[in-house]
Amino acid sequence: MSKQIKQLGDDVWKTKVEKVNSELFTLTYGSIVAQLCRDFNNNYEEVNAQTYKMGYNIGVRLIDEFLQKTQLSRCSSFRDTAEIVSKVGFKMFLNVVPNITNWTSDMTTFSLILTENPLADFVELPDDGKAAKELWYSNILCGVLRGALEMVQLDCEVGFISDVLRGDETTELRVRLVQVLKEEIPAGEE
Amino acid sequence: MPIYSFWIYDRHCNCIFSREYGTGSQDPSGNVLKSTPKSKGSAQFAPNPSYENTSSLPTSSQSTQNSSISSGRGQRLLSSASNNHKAQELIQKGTVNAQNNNNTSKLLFGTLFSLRKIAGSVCTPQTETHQEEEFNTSNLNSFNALQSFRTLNYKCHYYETMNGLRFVVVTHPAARSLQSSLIEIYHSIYLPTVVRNPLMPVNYREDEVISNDRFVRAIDEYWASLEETLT
Amino acid sequence: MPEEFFSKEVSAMALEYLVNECVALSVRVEELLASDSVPGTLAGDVAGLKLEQDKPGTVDFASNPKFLGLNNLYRVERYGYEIGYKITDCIIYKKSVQEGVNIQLLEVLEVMKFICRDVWRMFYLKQMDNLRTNHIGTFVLVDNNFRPLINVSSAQGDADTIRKIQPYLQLPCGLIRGILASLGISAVVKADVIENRLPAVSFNVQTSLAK
Repeated sequence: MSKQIKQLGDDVWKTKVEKVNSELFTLTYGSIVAQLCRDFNNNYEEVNAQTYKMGYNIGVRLIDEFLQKTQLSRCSSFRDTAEIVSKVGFKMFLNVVPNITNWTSDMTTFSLILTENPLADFVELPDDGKAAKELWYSNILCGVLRGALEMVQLDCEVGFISDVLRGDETTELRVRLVQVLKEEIPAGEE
Repeated sequence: MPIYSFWIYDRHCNCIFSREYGTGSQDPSGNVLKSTPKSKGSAQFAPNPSYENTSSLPTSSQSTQNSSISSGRGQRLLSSASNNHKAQELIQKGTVNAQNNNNTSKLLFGTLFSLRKIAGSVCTPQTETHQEEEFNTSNLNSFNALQSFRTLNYKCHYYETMNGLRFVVVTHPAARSLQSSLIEIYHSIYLPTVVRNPLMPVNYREDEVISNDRFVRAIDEYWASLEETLT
Repeated sequence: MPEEFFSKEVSAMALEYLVNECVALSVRVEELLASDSVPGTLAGDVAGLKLEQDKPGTVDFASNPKFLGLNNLYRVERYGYEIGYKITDCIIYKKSVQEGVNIQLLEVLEVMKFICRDVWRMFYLKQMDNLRTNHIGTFVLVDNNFRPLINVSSAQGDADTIRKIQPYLQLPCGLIRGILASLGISAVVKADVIENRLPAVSFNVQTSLAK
């Protein structure tokens, strides 16, 4: 199953995706974050919130792109979801495949370890002592995951645990399934 | 003309798009539809003597609510820029977003909703864990997805995406399966015109509808191009 | 290391969504800066308690009066400027090292051709369709099918679309201005929809000839 998913991700990336240089992407995102830091006077909490919100907005649309290109059917467990997010989702948009680790015993939380992060190539955080403690540079990814997963009825909390830009060893994202959202019923339905 | 109407419902169970084509159609709930010239919601609808709307009064008051967001555009008659004669014919007799909140729309959705639930519950696989059960009972499992239902006078085709968008088309009962067409509409019309359009929402509030010209035109042209190949 | 540089790719869709979201972000930032609240308290609600209506997937920002305000246009242009300023070296490097083409960017006209061909191809996957000049510092760049605008249309009709498109045009303006600036040319860049026929766009570049 895992191999099939990986194959699907590779195929989609190779055949169905128009590509641009990743440096463009890095620089675009970098300019946005830099400008945000200036706008909010290095209030990194606010910068985190804004990038998260950006991601959230992008995620609720990106899911349709994902569904169009992959035509996958519903996952039957959160484990499947993790595989698909990593091997197909990340692959087809960012051309990276993060590793999935650190499952909790009830299978509701997992970590994604990003060995490559196109958003953060060649980026250095400002040296003001605060950034390395407060800024999650790639927070937009958390928002994207949150938005996209919510559209398929999975209410998740997504956040960074560590980031190589901060001097940590790895860049790790933690995804926790809060609940499977119940579908809405039409108003007035008994 | 075998295509009677086309509807889109969002994940909040609201009708975000309805397109009636001016043909001898009947209300999917079994009542025969008539739009009186007085009712605002179907002011541009060519009155057809074979219709009879038993609830025309609530219809008109609810339809006017739609226009507040789409500023009346949703109810105006489309003058199509299409050169296609068939498309012109199709379009000139219909209404756009005039039926979103009326009984027809709600009944249609309710029927599909219930059928979907029945189909799903008849055929759920064994689950091992509580989580799997939650995933399975979630509305989006497609173990036994509803595709269409047919009555004496019409056939109703249904496609639901994994993110809760529901595409519905009501046609002549002899029509072939239009699943692939609904999927095609999702991929090549909805996606570019709505999702990739930064000026169009993807999350609709209660009274918001899709009233984008480009979208409506694309839908009309698509259905018009299918007319001949329906049976 | 040099071989790896500039060989990685991402999805063009990802970049497009990111760029489109910039405009909405810009309006949000304007709103926040305009309100006098203490920055620290706003970060609390990630979904945005301050802008209650601004839920994900909605386009409330487009009806916000600040959307077409000068501050917003300036801010979006600034995003483009920063990108343009930094990307020039990368593109030149790529062309000279990876493709073995020696770019001589001595004249302004050469620079404009560089933008029309190489920059546009990199960003928008196609070259500019037309480049005109009056030979005294003004250039008109024409793209008949400007990629970011292909899908943009307002529910309120074409005239409204053209109005609302202004912020989205500011980013490529800034991009061009930034590239010129990084090569020592100062310029003013404006964009217009050609004869109201979306997605055809023309960029009017007025360079100052002072050395």
